[in-house]
Amino acid sequence: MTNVRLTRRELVASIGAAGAVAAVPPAWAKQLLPRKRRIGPGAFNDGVASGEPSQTAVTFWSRLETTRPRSGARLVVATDPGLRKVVAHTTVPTGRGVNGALKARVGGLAPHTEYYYVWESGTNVSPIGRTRTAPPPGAVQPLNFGVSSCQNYGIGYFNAHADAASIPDMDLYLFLGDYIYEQRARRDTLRGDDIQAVDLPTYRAKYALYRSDPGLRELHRIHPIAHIWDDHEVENNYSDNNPPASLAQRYAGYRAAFEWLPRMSFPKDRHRIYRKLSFGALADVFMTDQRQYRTGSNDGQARHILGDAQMSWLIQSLKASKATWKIVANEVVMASIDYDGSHNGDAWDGYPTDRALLLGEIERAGIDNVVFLTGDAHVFMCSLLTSDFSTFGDGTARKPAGVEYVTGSITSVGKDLPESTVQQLSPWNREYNGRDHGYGRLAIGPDQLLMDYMASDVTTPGGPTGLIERFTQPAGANAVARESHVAARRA
Amino acid sequence: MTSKAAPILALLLVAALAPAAAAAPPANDPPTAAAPFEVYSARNGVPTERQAVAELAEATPDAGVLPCLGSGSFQRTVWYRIPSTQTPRELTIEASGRTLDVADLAAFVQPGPGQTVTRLPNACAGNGIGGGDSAGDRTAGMTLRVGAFRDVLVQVGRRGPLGSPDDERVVVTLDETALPVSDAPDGDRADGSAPSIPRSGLTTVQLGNATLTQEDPFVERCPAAASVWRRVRPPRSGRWTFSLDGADAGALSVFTGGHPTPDSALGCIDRQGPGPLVLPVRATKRRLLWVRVGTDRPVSGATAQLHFRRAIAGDHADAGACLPSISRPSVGGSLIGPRSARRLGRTRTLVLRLRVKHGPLCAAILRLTGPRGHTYARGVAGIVRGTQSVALQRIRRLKRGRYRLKVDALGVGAIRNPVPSTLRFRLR
Repeated sequence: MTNVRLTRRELVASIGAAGAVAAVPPAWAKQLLPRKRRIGPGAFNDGVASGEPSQTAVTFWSRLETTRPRSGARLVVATDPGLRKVVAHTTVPTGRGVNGALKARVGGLAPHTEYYYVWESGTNVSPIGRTRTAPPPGAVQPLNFGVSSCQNYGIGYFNAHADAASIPDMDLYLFLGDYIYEQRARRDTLRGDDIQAVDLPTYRAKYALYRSDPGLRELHRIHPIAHIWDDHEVENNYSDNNPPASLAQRYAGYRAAFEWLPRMSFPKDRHRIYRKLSFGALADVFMTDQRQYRTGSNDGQARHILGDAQMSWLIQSLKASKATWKIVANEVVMASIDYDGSHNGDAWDGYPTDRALLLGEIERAGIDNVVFLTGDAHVFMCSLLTSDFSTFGDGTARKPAGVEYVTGSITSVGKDLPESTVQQLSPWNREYNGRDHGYGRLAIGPDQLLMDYMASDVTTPGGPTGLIERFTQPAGANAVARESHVAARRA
Repeated sequence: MTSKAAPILALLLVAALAPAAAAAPPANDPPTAAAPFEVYSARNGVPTERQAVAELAEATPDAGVLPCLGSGSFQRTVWYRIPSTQTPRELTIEASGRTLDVADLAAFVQPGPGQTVTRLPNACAGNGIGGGDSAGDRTAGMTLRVGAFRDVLVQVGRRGPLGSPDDERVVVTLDETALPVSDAPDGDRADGSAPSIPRSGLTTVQLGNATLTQEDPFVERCPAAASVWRRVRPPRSGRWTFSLDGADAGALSVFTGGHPTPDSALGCIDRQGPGPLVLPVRATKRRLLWVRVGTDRPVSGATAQLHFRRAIAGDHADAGACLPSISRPSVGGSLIGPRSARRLGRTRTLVLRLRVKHGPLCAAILRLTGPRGHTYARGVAGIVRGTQSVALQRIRRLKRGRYRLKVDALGVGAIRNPVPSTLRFRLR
């Protein structure tokens, strides 16, 4: 058996105690390390990933393809790409029960520092990954985030991810749900996807297929990621309970999403994904879950989107945050949007009481600079937010509660309506584009926030990505100035 | 605790336990009432997996059933039955609950359909295995291959303090894949039909279509989805070494006694890398040894070479892997043999005694350089640990003068690095 050799800095992870306002589950204490740690055979066929950075810890991920019931790999973290300046190493067990997933949260790292890492099994070595820790508390270090959602493998190439991977200094890449699409692709789509994900083996196969995309794989290799799920990680609109998804299917979808992403579980709530990530003095990121705790659809319960515990956590955390920018990673559209005669009842429009409660608390507490980053809709969109849209007008008469950026989709098809139609019906909307696909680049500074919408060609492998919109949001204003590049790009 | 506090605590315990004792255990509490796994539906397709939701809050332990993962395991259990089919199958059973407390799983392969034999667990998963149970999102899972016309009983358990019904609940899934109908290999069962190792000590073990049977004892450190057995009686007492070569052989276990049991295991080795598995054991003259070759994907035609021989100095358990050390290794040592260039020049090989600090050296390339900077001998060593002799092939006529050994080896991330070497000598 391989001896466990721990450097002074190393604290390997899964989970420790998790309070109601806990951020990422903390790194394991040394004495709780599993007794039997050993490497074993297996190949790293699915790349590497890192995620959930804090100022001193990062969650590292890979997957070992092996037939052995139990195996393991050594994780080595260094400050140089040649892996000569090793700062931490540990052996991470894996096995049949987690489908070969390898995950470790390594603590004791230096704030806002770039690290390189590799996984080694008894028969294979992974690609060398790169990651970065978050700035320390109080630091006004400018931040760069990437934001995207809704990647449907069958209908396009993930070129937006390749573009994001080429950016050298990204602090975090936020993925806002629909990382997979559980259904098999139609026959006329660009890429084949025959997997109908309904149980554990098929969800796992689906993630393996998606992770074969070179853009997505490179994104994970280069940048730390944080992910929240939406409905397609289990089943389209499964929270409508029509009929309810079985416990086995929900567990299968949730488990696969944990197995394939660099995210640690809370010990008493395995599938909890809502948590907080802090980035110095400038940003707190609140990851939310708007699927797992929904009630009120065909279940005889009151209608809620977050559940009481999460809503309370979010409101209290927003009130307690001292960061300049409060970023809410939000699965479904927060703003009230009239899509030419219809509202989306699956989004916050279907939960107006909860929306009024959350945004009302933000308004009453006078919390500025709350920014909702949203997925699900497959459109690029920007809207001002309020607790009462019925009296909001164009959003200039009173200070908005916050700003929402819906950052397109990686490939999924959106509702291509004229912007003028949307803005006539929802005058607080500042931009609407249902035609392009891509991602958002967020540059966060002490005085302003810049959001760039990047559109990419999804029809050809390696297709280009370029800027289509830029929004400038001055600190304290809860409002945006728009600079459109759409016409120039299309020309 | 004070003497007054003890009776009060006892009363409180009795009070706390009373409702639990009165509560009804689930219908599938005993193995004789094992429940089936059930088909479930999904909106967008048909799951091939089957599910069971194990309610363990009021379940009881099983008297007379060996708790597979130690005395603390399987404190509250329920049972499921996987009915036999006409073909061999690969069964994957996984279990998880709301919390990260890992469920206990055990599988009992039945001698035939409809039987309920719980003498010996044949496959287990749960805390202590050191696999998925120790991973970040820890869960229990196991795969086993079983022959046609064999039921499998599955025991699902919890251990430790009783939690809430929600925390005690375990969602168990069964994935069942039919395998081609074919004959099991010789030695599929650990009984009198298992072949003996020939006198030469060398034998080819056919692994294709191997299964687990009711005779297979589960060995926590060396689990496998299927196994093949051999028997041998050592002609002398002492240390004997088994070595096993073949990528499809995942584990090697040795037992003694009339039939193999978890208590009669002499040792086992679980594959970590591509090299041969080596397992020295201490054995008694003429006392029967049972050799278990564990395999996980016994495809048709898969084989392994098993070698049984007297142990030699330096034999140690080896799982077949070489993991470069994090610390920078270094090499010292000396030339073995005469220091005469003329005498050494008559041999094809030079033997060096290497002393490796902070090793091992993995995939080391060794080069002996000498007068005029030429390379005079070279060699490759898969693994070099501690003090070890290695032979280099002479490629140039040796001359009088100073020689030094240059070494390259794989470092972290399989990046090849030079290894500092102090091995130097002078030839007359």
